[in-house]
Amino acid sequence: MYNSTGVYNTTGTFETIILAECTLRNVSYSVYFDSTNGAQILTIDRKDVLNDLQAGVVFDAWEPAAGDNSVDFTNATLMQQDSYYQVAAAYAQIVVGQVSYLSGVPYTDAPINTTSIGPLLGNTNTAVTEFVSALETLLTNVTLPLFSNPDYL
Amino acid sequence: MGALAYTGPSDSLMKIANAVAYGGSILPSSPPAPNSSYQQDFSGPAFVCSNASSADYAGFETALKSATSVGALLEENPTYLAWAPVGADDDDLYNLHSSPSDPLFDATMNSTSIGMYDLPTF
Repeated sequence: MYNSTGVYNTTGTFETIILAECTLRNVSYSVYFDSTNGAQILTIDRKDVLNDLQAGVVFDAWEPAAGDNSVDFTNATLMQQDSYYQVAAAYAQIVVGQVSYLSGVPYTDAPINTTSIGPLLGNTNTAVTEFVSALETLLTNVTLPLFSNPDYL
Repeated sequence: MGALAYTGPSDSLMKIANAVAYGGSILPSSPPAPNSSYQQDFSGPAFVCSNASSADYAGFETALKSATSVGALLEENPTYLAWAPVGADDDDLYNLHSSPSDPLFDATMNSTSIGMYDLPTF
């Protein structure tokens, strides 16, 4: 269950807000690939959370301050975190949207609205729980095909 | 302004991410041999979601109340809801930020957060 609150919009209508918090973690996966019947079946087991990922060091590497030549692009830990955040950034481009007001009426424009999990968006706890679960799954689904692409191995 | 400027994930990475998001399923990979099965163990990124912290919640609520009280201004300044990492100086800090910058809609979040806002068009 997620906590909820609300605000009145400019037309005086009470709008419910449910806020979930998603953190990027380094986790261990165990994936079983089975193509013995022609179609490929994946059994995914997301195991232990290995560690949290701190964003600051990666952002500093992406855009170092003027004159700062200290970023070590051969540092394996930094490069791993960089890779993770590149995947997360791609994911964010799909999920992040805009809220605008037109004649006092709020509306959104987010790419995720047109994806397969867009219809799960809703303001009930049941809908949000389902939507958040789909968000977690989506990043996993984005991650796994990278292991089948030589560019990312 | 540094010599390097991050311009976002590569086109090839976006191609895969978009295909998964819009297709609704994991992209198939080529098996090493016909009728084969195998297991891979590896570490990778994942999102773990939970209730937002009370501090994040309060920040989000304050920001949204500020935003909704100035609807006419937002009409001219489309604003991001959901998360957007913008901090380069503080570890693990994200700002709920606007584009273009709008200080009325600025709340510091302690981690990547997703606000789900019931809007008429959903």
